[in-house]
Amino acid sequence: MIRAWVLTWVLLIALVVPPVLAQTDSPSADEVAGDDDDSAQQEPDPEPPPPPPVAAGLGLTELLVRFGEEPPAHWMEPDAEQIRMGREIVTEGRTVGPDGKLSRKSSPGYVCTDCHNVVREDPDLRSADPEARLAYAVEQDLPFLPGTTLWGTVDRVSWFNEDYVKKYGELVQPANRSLRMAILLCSAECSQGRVLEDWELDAVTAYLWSIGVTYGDLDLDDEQRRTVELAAAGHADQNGAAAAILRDAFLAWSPAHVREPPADREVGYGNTGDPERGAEVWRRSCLTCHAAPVIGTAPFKDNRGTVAHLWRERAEAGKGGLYQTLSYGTRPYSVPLVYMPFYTQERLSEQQADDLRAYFAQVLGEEVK
Amino acid sequence: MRRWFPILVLVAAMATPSVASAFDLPLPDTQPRLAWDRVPGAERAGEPAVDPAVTEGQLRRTLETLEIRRKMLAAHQVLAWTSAFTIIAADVIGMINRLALQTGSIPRGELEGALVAHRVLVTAASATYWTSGVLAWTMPSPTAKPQHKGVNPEWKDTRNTHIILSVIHSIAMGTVIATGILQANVVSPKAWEPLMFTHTTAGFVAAGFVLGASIVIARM
Repeated sequence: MIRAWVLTWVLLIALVVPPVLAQTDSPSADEVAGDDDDSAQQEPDPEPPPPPPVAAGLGLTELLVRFGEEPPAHWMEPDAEQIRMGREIVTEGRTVGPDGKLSRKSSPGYVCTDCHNVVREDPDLRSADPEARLAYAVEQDLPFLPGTTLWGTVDRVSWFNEDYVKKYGELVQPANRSLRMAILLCSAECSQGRVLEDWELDAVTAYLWSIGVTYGDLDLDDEQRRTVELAAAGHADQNGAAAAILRDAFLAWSPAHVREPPADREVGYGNTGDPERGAEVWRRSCLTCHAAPVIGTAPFKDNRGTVAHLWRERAEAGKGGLYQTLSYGTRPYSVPLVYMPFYTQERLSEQQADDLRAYFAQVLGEEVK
Repeated sequence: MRRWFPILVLVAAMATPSVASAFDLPLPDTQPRLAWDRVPGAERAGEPAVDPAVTEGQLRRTLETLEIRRKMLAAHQVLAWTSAFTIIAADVIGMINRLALQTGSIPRGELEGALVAHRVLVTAASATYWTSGVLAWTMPSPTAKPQHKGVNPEWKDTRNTHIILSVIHSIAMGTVIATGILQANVVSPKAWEPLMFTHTTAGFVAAGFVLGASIVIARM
């Protein structure tokens, strides 16, 4: 009986001990002996190869969809012909449509590019900072316009934000959550034009997809890029983190708040104006619409006479007042109906309004109070 | 009094278009009452988009209605200004004719051209005036449009003043037409002069108040 117990224990020990020993860090007999035959199997695992880089031209929204986000309602795969038609509608107001005929102008008074750039206009895509934007506009020789750039608008999640409801009322509500409806509203009301037909709306949307934000436009650090690239390489566990990184790298809506005029319009907002920056505002904002080709009924010349007129009326509360029109715009006048849109505080800061005032004062030799 | 009753009825009928907008008339289907279910900018992430099938069609119809309104408004304005200046021209020619007839400086036969010119101008003024009025009456109301003072708190709503001025100029215009018709048919020399005075004065009042209404609404 005792022998049987002993035999059982010996067998158990013989079965259990060797695997346990094999899992310990203690060197094996072969290693101790310096046997090189199996050395390759015993070296620590090498670093896994880095994931392949994500193509710089890949669209932001396309990546987000890959990482599990729902495609937006305006999602489409545009063809080259749609993009051409859309580009012409945006930049020229009309195009040769699918029926081979020249379409009616979308607006008698405006084209989209009168108020919107179609290229990147912010150095930092995470913020809507008019100061940084003006510096970038100078660097890139861009207009400094009241409307947010159409570049990347397909990658945003809301339009006609915040205070636009004060201007367009209930119409903003559907447009706030739908790019297609935002385009309809912009064409029919903001540009005092007409309601786009379905094919035109598709074409404009297609063009906007062609100028969406790409992966290469985003300012990401190495670690963020690695997370995105891992997710793109199929590591589904990284999808959430990658989508969050991408969402954080681009402001998903363009904020819009009314900038009230200064309490005392004679003296402005009270900032010390920089006439050089004011000159840039003058040329890249005011003259873009008010000089040739003139949009509307108030032609400006880049001369002392025009500046003197604006300076005299700077404190007016009517349509001629400098601060008045910058803050509130004007109502539509003349035939065709055109008006001056208002500059939100995210599109033109109080400092920039005072810079403009300082430029006027410099041109006129006035002392800025 | 009975003599004047038809004229009063005529004046009231002519005045109706311009005062119609002051009443809350039952509106046709071109006046969509909107019921969007979103508050702009409330939340941007995690919310489902608005139902595109429903709202895109609704938005299209609304914008088309507003586009029609905008065109009718432009036509209303152009016609109103045309009307105002035509009335003034008719007034001036009418006064010249009146002086000529009163003083007898020009024989009646030689005045025929000027009289015809006056009638042509009056006809043009009436046509543009009443067409403009009908457009104002029938144009879709800006149901979905915001109040401008939403952006500009200093904005003044001058629509009521515009309507009051419209009532006055429509009564004046009705008087012009009524007295003109009476002048063309009246035989009593005793009534001629008061009619002439009323006719001329009403003409200037109509033109002045049309211009006034234009200026007032332009300040809105």
